[in-house]
Amino acid sequence: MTQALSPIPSDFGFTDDHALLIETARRFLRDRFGPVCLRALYDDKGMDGDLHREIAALGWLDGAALSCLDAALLCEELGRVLCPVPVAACIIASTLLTDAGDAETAESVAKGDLIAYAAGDSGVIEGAPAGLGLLLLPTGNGSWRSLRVEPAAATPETTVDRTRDGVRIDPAELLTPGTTLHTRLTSDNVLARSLTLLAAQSCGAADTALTMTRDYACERHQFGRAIGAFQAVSHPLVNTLIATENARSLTLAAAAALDADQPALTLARMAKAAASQTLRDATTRGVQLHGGFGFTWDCDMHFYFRRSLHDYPLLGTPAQHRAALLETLMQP
Amino acid sequence: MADEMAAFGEELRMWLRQNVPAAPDFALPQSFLEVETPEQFTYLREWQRKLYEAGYLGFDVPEAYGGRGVNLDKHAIVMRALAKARAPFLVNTIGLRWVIPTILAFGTEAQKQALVQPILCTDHIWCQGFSEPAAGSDLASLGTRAEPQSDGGYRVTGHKVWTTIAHFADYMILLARTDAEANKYAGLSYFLFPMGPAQAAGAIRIEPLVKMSGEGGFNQVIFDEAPMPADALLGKQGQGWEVAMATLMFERGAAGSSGEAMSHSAEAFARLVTLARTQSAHDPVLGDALVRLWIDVAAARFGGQRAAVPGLVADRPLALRMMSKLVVSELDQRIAELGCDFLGMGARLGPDDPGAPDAGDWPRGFMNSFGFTIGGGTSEIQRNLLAERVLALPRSR
Repeated sequence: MTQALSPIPSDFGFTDDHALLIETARRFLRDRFGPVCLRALYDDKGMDGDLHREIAALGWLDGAALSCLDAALLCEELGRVLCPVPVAACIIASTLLTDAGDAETAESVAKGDLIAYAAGDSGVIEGAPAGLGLLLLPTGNGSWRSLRVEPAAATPETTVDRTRDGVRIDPAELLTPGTTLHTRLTSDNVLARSLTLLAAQSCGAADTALTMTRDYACERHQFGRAIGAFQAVSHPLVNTLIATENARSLTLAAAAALDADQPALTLARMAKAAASQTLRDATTRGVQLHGGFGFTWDCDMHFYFRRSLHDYPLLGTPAQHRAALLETLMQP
Repeated sequence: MADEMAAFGEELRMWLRQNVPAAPDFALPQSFLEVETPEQFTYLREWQRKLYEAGYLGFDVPEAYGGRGVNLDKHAIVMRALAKARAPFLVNTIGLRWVIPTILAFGTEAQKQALVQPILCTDHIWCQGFSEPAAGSDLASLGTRAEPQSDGGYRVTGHKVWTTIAHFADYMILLARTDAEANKYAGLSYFLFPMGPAQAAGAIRIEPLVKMSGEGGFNQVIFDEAPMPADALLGKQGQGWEVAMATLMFERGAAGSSGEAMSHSAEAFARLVTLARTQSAHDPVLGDALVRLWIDVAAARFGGQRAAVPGLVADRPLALRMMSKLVVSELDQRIAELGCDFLGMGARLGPDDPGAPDAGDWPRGFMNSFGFTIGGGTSEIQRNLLAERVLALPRSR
């Protein structure tokens, strides 16, 4: 039955270590990249210290040491606060490099000395991380081309999401010869990882948008009561809750399938489609339900709205993934 | 352990291959909500009895009370296998899913010994007497009276509605007012009402109601000083609201992972995919709607699984369980509606037309789907409950 999905362990592979990881990540990010830091980034006040290296020091860029579930749970926490560090890209790149036997470069990425990105194909790449130093391009059948990126070859992109300012690169313009890597990881597998970690970030961000709006609905009083008492406010929030829980279930299932060495692209596409749409809806409803204040720069909701604008088309829009899923579903 | 489950599943699948009854020559209802005729009832009752006697029913019930001992993994395997084998549904669903857990939670040892096992083997068929014509969503305002008598028993007078399977039932879980002076919640008591003696005395009238699909299955029940024994009381007098809320939680899938409902949706979706493939012109809009459903069906399935992992629901432990009835009922409705859309003109033909595609199951299913989005707490009420209990938003009333 083509609609059968990969089996995953009943507990998703979750252990007490994961609970500790979530708690540690949440606390660290609350202290180091809370709402004040996010706003400072947008107000061009820059960032204190070197968050990238601090995250590296915690071992969170090391694809060789992290399972997909570890990475997904971490990415959820990063998404909650819109952390600007390209953690997902570095985790996936270091996983790939390790699998290919290039432990030295993998370590470089894991230590925060090198920012690397595994692309989906060999065409022009948009939305790659700022400060990109190494590009990994699939050339088919488990082969990858590893190319150093000269700063001049990367065109800066200033997007509506200041936490995602990155670069555009045309691999054809890179002068470095590069090296060839061979991995067991297929490009479908790498795509599944990328989609899953992106979906995880969207889930975290959507959850914040939901919580923020819920809190506002309890504080804001009109007509003698908190506006959250009105079903026109509470029911859309419940719909966001349902969508967020659904996207989370799919994302964690995709991560569990990857860890179980099962085909995961179908689940990953579902997760990405669901999570992107959920973040979109959570933030549009979020703005609307914050009323006049929600429409201003001063309300944090637009930061999450902008994250949605950036991530919705990244690695394929929900509609594009649904089209690919339809082909899978309709196979005889 | 995984091997044991795999072996159990295989043994069950083999048994089902040999024992699922052949389709009868009369139309079967689509769910336990539409059981109308004696022949439908007998066919379904015999199936459940057979399943119980083969040892595949009761993995959510302790052995002391006639079950197989609580083993939720096996329970889930059974539910999935039944759905996949397209086995007839379990006619005593109210008894199995809402009555047994309620009796196990609140009953005396005598009540557990007397009443649980007969539900499993279908000796006692149960219905639910909660809603009334003037008390649906606002259940607590109900008016049916259970007047305490000097001998410790009660006399019941009032009117219940939407009573599924009352016409075949032996017992009713009855929520009634024992104290008209107390506040509306504190005046309610919960009973395990034996219908036989009251029927024999002509003190209850069961009148069938017709659904929009033209099918029967539910009723109104009118009580006129119906006698009820003292030992029918479940819990304490005045504890009725608390017990009823527990029953509603069981009904809405809070107990366990509501595996049966989910498996049913997965099977319905599989039938939809089969239908979609027969459409020669692949409409991209319908195809996109189909995939949106696939995504949501998968999400609900993995959500059911995630609900059982405490570390993965730590931020909102109640959310997945509380949303399951709402989600599954709306999924079923969308599946039926999309099936009708794939059929185009074929959606106009119901079970009455011998040439109807799939025996008219799609338009019939779409109509019957409202039984599930409205009954057991409307989708609107479910959203209110999620707002209050999961999001901690202020009450709307």
